[in-house]
Amino acid sequence: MTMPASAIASPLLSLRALTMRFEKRRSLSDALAQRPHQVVSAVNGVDLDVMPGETLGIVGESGCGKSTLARLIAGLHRPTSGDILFEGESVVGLKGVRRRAYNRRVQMMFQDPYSSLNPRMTVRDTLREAISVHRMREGAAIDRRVDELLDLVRLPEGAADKYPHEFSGGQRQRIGIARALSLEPTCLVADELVSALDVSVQAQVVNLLIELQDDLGLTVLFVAHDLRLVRHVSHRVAVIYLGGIVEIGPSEALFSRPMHPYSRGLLAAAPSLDTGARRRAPALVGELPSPLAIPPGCPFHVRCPHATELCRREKPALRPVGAGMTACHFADTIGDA
Amino acid sequence: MATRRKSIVLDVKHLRTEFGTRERPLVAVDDVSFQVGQGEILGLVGESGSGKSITLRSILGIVRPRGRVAGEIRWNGQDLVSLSEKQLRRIRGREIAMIFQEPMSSLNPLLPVGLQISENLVAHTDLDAKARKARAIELLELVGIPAARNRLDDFPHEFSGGMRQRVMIAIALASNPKLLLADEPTTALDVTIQDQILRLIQQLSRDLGMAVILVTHDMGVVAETCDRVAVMYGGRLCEIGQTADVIADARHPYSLGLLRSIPRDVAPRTPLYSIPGAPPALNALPPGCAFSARCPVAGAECPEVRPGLQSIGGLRQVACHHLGDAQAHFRPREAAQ
Repeated sequence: MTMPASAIASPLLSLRALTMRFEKRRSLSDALAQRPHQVVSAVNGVDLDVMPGETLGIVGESGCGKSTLARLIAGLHRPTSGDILFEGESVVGLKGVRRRAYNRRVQMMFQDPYSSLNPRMTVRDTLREAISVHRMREGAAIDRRVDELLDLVRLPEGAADKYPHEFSGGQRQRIGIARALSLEPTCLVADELVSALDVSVQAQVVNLLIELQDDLGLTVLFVAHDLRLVRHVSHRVAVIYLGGIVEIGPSEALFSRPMHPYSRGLLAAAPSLDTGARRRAPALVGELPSPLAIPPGCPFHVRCPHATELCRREKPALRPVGAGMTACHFADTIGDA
Repeated sequence: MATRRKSIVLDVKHLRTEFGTRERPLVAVDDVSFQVGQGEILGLVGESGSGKSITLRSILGIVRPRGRVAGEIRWNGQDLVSLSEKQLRRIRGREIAMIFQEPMSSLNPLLPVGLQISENLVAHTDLDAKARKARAIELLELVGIPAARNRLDDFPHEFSGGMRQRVMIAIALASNPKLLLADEPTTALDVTIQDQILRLIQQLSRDLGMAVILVTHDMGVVAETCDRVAVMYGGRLCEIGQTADVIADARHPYSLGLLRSIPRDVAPRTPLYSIPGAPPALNALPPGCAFSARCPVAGAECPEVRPGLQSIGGLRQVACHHLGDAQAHFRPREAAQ
């Protein structure tokens, strides 16, 4: 694996105690009874460094906060507290020209290619809009750039003047990638980029993403629930549980030897092609607790087969274990079990 | 797992399901034949539009009246295709039950789940009200819903996605069906919950001697759950056999390509194998092999001459004119490892 030569460089993107809480709307009766607002804690104090040129995979069950994290980074939400640093500078309070400059350099790509493209705009119009709003090119150079972009994502000639419905799902995702690349970003945030596609088409889009990243030196945050794909594209992987990182480390190390009991359960539950390793019992019992009421102590203790009194009381901090970092009181001992 | 030719409960012969006008029919399922043994789990795998769901719906007669079903569907010796709607209703939900991908849209949001289970018991059993309630509790416990007694009066929205799918399974089991048709029952769920539901289906099939046809697009799900697998493409069967055999040694170029495009034992960030092109539209299928347009080993005759399913020993059947070429084409990777 070619790890980007950035282990010593300074991070491109840093999250510092990043927290996002959403207040639930109170019903009238709750308001009259003066019951407190219910709060969804989607992201809880995430610390994370993303190095230039790397692909960081982000995995976890639905509702764990991985999409909220992606949206915070792309600037679609304003965090409740904590900070996001881009090349060492805080971007949370940015306004005006500097906000737009950041927005241009961090581009998001979405899961649903059907709803993230305007159905009444041709591909050319969609791309032109992005290019001209950010004044990336002027006049005739805009159309030349559109053709260049479509060529880059290998869409057939003549694609520019078609509407989104004329394309297949895989091709629509390519349009999404072209739109993101039109602003010459530094960092791409891919939220379930290929989840809606058929298996045989997924591979085409993933290959394209890896190739473009290597050619253009992009940093990629790859949020996905397909663990096999995440393993394939990522240099490092972060496992999220109830809004917090429970384990982060080099992709191969994490997948071949997960240290956190949650990572172990999650990886074991993912369907594998190994017909010899059938289990009768599920890999992980129970469900993700509601983010309205995150359990005290280690948030995973209610589902953890190894939980003790300590886990119920004290929240474990992320600390170095093996090749990466793990937030578990007993990672060292159960790692060998 | 040893389901060597137990007594056959379902025998599908030359099933053909078409929609649209008689002059220009859209053939969704074309000449599909397979058998399901008692207590066996058969996987039906394919991409979107391959006809796998329509095959399931044809068995229960729920594609009528818009769809036209031809061929034979022998259920314990009786041909379901020739039955009237009234006769079918006696089998549907009683002997053959079905669960769907979206449990939220198949449950009635306005009725408590206990009532929805009872409805099925009223329709298919002679139990009185008290016995029905007891049976409903028993069924919810069987599918692993905690504190089942207290949940009878809860509405579907009060359950999580995984729990809703368990409720669906409980409703399906109410009449002790001999065959369960499961249409992508875990596609909308997280891997951890998917794992729990699949293990549950497996356990129920084993304990109750119930046959299952599991439709999925994920070869990993098949590998971990099914005894046999049938691979569909463009409304036709291209390969059928014991799961372990097909996954270890697929023969049809499509099954080979599908398995190869799943990242497994490949160096990280290297290009993944991808089947070129996109799945064909129903109105653009060639008279010959449906896969010929995307096939790496197709010859001149492939788009013209339809390959039939040929037995190649054991319980394996494959429909391809170029079995030898397919094996030679897909072999180099194994040699390179």
